Amino acid sequence: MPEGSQRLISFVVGTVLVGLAMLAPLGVNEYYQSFLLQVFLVIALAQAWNLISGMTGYVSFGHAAFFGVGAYAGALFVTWGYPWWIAILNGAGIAALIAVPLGFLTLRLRGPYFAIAMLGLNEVGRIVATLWVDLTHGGSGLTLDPTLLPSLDMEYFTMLALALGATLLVAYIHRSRFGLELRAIREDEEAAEMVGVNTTLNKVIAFVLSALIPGAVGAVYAMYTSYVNPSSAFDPARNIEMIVVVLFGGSGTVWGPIIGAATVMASREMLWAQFPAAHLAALGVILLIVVLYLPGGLISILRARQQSRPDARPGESP
Amino acid sequence: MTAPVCDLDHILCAWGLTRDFGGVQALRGVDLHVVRGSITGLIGPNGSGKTTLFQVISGMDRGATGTISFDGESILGRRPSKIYHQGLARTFQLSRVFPELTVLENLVVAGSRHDRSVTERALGLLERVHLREYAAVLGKNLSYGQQKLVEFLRVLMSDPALILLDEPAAGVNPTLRQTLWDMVRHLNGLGTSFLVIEHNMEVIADLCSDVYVLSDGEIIAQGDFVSIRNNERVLEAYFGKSRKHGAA
Repeated sequence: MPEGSQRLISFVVGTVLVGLAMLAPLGVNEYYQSFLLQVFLVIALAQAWNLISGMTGYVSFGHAAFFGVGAYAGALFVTWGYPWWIAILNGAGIAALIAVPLGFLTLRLRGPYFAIAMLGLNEVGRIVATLWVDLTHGGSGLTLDPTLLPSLDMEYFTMLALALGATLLVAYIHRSRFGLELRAIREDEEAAEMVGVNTTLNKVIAFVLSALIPGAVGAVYAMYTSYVNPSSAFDPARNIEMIVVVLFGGSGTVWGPIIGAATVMASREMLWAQFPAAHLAALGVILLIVVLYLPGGLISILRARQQSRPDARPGESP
Repeated sequence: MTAPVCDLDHILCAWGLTRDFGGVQALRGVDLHVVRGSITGLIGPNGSGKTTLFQVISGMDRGATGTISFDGESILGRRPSKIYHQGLARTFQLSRVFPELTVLENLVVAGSRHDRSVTERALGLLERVHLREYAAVLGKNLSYGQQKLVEFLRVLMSDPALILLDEPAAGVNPTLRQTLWDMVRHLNGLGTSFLVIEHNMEVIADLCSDVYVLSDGEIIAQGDFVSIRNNERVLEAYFGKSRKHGAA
C-alpha cells in the first residue's frame, strides 16, 4: 500500500478514535470512564517508553520513577494551593529536569547495564519519597483535598490529551530526521556516530522527552486517585506494564502502544471478570504466546506490506 | 615542546600515535601523512594495527596519544560525529549498514540536516551504482557486496575531503568491486583524498601513489609501490626471514 494511503488511513482511524473518546463521557458510566482514563494513562506511558526504548533501543526498567516524581510534584503543588494545571506542568517539568543530568550519566551505559541503572533509579525514588517525611509524609502518603482537584471529566480529558499528545509526538519524531537518527542509533550506535549523528545529544533529548510525559501523567494520576504514597508512585509493576504493552502492540511503532494498551487493558478487564483467581496467569500466557509467535507485536499482523528481498540479479553473490 | 606543523600539501598528518591495550602496544609511535588529493595505501600483515589506526584517526578510539592534524586542525580526542562533519569519513572492514533502515534511509541519515535536497542526492548516488531500485529495501535484505557498496555511498553523503576505506572490496563480487574502484578513481579525480587498507596488492599498485606499511604497530616502510615491494623489512614482515632471501 502506498505511504500516502497508509497515512490517510491512520489519520481517519485516529480521528474517529479520538472523536469516540471525546464523546464517551456522554454515553458511559463512571466505571467505564475510569477504565478509559486508565487506558489513556497506559497509552501515554507506553508511548513515552517507546520513545526511548522502542526507537533508540535503550530498554528502561525505571520510567516509573518519572511517573512517581510527577505524581509527587503534582500532589504537592496542588496541596500548596496552585491550580491543578500548573501542578501538572510542574510534574512534567521537574521529571524532565531530573532526566537531563540523569540522561548524560546513564545513557553512557548500554544494554542490561542501562536497564539495571534505571531500575535502581526507581528504587531510589521510592526510598527518597519514604524517607523525606517532611515533604512527602513518608509511607503515610499525601492525601489531596478533593475541593482543590479537577472533576473526573476534566481528569479524563486531560489524560486523553496526554495520550494524544504523546502519540502525536512519537508520530512526528518517527517521521522526522531526529527519529531517523534515533533509529540509526538503535541499529548500530557506533556506525551512527561515524556518519555524523551526535548520539549522546540525540539520546538525551529522547530521554528527556520520554521523562516529561510520565511526569505529567503521574501528576494527573495523583489527582485522579487523590492520594499518593511511595509504593503507588514508584511501583515497579508500572515499568513492566509499559514494556509489556509496547511489546504486545509493536515496539518502535506509533500504533503499537495504542493497540497494545487497548488489548492488554481489555484482556485484563475481561479475564479479571471471568477468572478472578487466575487472571494474571492467563494474561501472562497470552503475552508469552504473542512474544514467541509475533515478535513484532500485534501490529505486525496489520502491516499490509512486508519488506522482502527482491530477486537477486544474475551473477550477484548472495 | 612545539606541536609539529602539517604541511599545506597534506590533508592528514599523524605523529607519534601510540595506543596501548593493557600492556599490548597496538600502535607504536606511528607517523603518517596523506597528501591532499592522493590515494594513499596502508598495508601490513593481519594484526599489524591497520584498523586500530583507522579507529584512532576517525575518533572511534579516543585512548591514543600523539598528534593528528586533519585539514589544519587537531582532531585527536574529538568525537567521531564532529570529525565526520569536518570532512573525514570512513567505512568499516565488515559492512555496518543499518539493517532495519531502508537503503535510502541509510544514506539520508549520513547527509547534512540542513541539506533540503538530501533525498535527491541519495537517490542520485544510488542511480550511479545501479541500486536506485533498491531504495526502499531494508539494509539487511541486500547482498553483502551491495551492503558494502551502500556503506561506501553513505560516506559520500557528506562530501568528505578524506575517506578512510577499510578493505572496501573484501567479500564483494568482481562486478561490484569494479564499480567501487571506478567510483574511487572518479572521486579522486574530483579532488577527494583516500587512505585505503587493502590486501590485494594489484589494487594497491594500480591506485596508490604512496604506500605505508604497518607491522606490529610500527610503520616499517613508506614510498611508492615499487620501492615497497622490494623493501627487505616489508618482505620479512609478510613472509618471515626464511622467505626473505628467496623473495629478494
